[in-house]
Amino acid sequence: MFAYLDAQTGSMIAAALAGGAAGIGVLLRMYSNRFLGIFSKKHRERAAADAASLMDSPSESINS
Amino acid sequence: MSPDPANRRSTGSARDPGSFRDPTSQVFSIDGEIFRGLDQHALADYQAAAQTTFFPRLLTEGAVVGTDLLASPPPELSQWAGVLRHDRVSTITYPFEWAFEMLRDAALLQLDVTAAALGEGFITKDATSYNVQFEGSRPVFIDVGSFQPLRKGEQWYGYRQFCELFLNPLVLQAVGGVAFHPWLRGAIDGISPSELAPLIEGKQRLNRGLLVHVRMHARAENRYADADSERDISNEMKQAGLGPAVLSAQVANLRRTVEGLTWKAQRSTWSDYSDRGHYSDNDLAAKDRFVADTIKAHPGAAVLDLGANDGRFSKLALENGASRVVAVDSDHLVIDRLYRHLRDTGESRILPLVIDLANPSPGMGWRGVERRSFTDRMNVDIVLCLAVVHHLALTDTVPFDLIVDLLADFGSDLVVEFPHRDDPMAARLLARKRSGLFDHYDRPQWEAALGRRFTINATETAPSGRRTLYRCTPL
Repeated sequence: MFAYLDAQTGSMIAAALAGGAAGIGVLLRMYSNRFLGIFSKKHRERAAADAASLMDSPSESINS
Repeated sequence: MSPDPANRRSTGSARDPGSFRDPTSQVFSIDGEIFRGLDQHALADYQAAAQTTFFPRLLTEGAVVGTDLLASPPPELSQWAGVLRHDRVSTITYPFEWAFEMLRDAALLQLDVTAAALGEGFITKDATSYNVQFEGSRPVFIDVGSFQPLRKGEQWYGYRQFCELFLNPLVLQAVGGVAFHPWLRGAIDGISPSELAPLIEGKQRLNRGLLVHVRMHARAENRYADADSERDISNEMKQAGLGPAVLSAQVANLRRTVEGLTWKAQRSTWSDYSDRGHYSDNDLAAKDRFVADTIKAHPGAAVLDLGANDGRFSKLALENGASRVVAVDSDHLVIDRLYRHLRDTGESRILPLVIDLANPSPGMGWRGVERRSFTDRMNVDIVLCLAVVHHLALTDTVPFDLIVDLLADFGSDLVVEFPHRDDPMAARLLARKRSGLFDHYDRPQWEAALGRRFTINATETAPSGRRTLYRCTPL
């Protein structure tokens, strides 16, 4: 179950920046995942499955 | 938190008109008691929180409002999976009525509560300053429905709200030197980072906390304004390892930033009033006696002290048997000083508020009832209105009958002071007026207006003959 507030992307980035070295590490990994995701079907499918599990809904392929 | 008639009509219940945004947890007021309905998810979250060590500790410390899960909830709330009963906060107040230091302490409480929750795998799902109330001069976190277990990879959804409703108003005052009250009162969702960022100038641009939470926050907000539909950033962050350690670091960083904010005002119109040099000792002693006698006749009374300044008469009321006092003044600095004094001396029975009687907080938000008006929230037995009438009548140019209407709005007994035309303070205000324009400012016309809404039970003119005190009950 998600919070009733909408998350805003800008706030998420700022919050990660405020999270010290660990937060900046998250941002660096996020951007590197994006870069890899352009080339890797495996990465795209894993991200889609994780998104589905976070939303409490059945997993769907990003290509479907 | 009393039930609102309009709300009863529309929902068939006594839901608090300010509690509707979180669909899983909502507050009700029934027969003077405060309840919280929880849906099945919120009930499970509450039961999980009750099993932790942090939640019972916060309850015991009084940092979180007293709460019990009811075995037999009121029948009106039978549709909810669970019902909590909360201790009732004596007077509901809003952040735009607090002094700087009160908002700062409320912000620190919110962060401490969130940090305690994070320490045991929980989070506060929101972080609005309306979730903190003041019981006298002591801040209390009231949104028990906010606690929920932190899911893997989940962010702190309350971060933005914390910035808009706690941090940014504090920055506005401490860094910008601009009073936060009018802005916060006009913007129910608070002050956004992009609205505030242009005010950060000079060496403040190097402040690390402000750099991240205000300036970079504003920049990221603009940069990613249209990104929400394109990317699932929340999930990407989860993939990248977002977890409790990052959230704890965020909260610690916010705490350092808030602690670093101070309001350095030293002097204001009324900050030097407490010496009361314009009073003779005899006049002041007679006034003390008159007020003390009134309070003694009502043991345990709740008192509203209008124009409280340094809280002299608020404290006098407590010394003579009042149970609690709401001390209001339009001067932010004197209320900030009063709050610090009360906090530092451990006197928690006085609630200081920044209120301009010529423009008190209106009803606002959804349908104009989400946040209730100041007069509607004041549930007191006695109103003290000392050394105030001449300012309302001469500075704010409010006619006597309208001043008396305001005093009658509280529906309470009244002690009111009328400075005559030859009182030094009244004479100073009258000297600024065009001759003849305020000839109606005299004792007979004041008493005629007062008698229209109140029964005058006692009258006492000060030994100097320049001021008169009235003890009244509403008609």
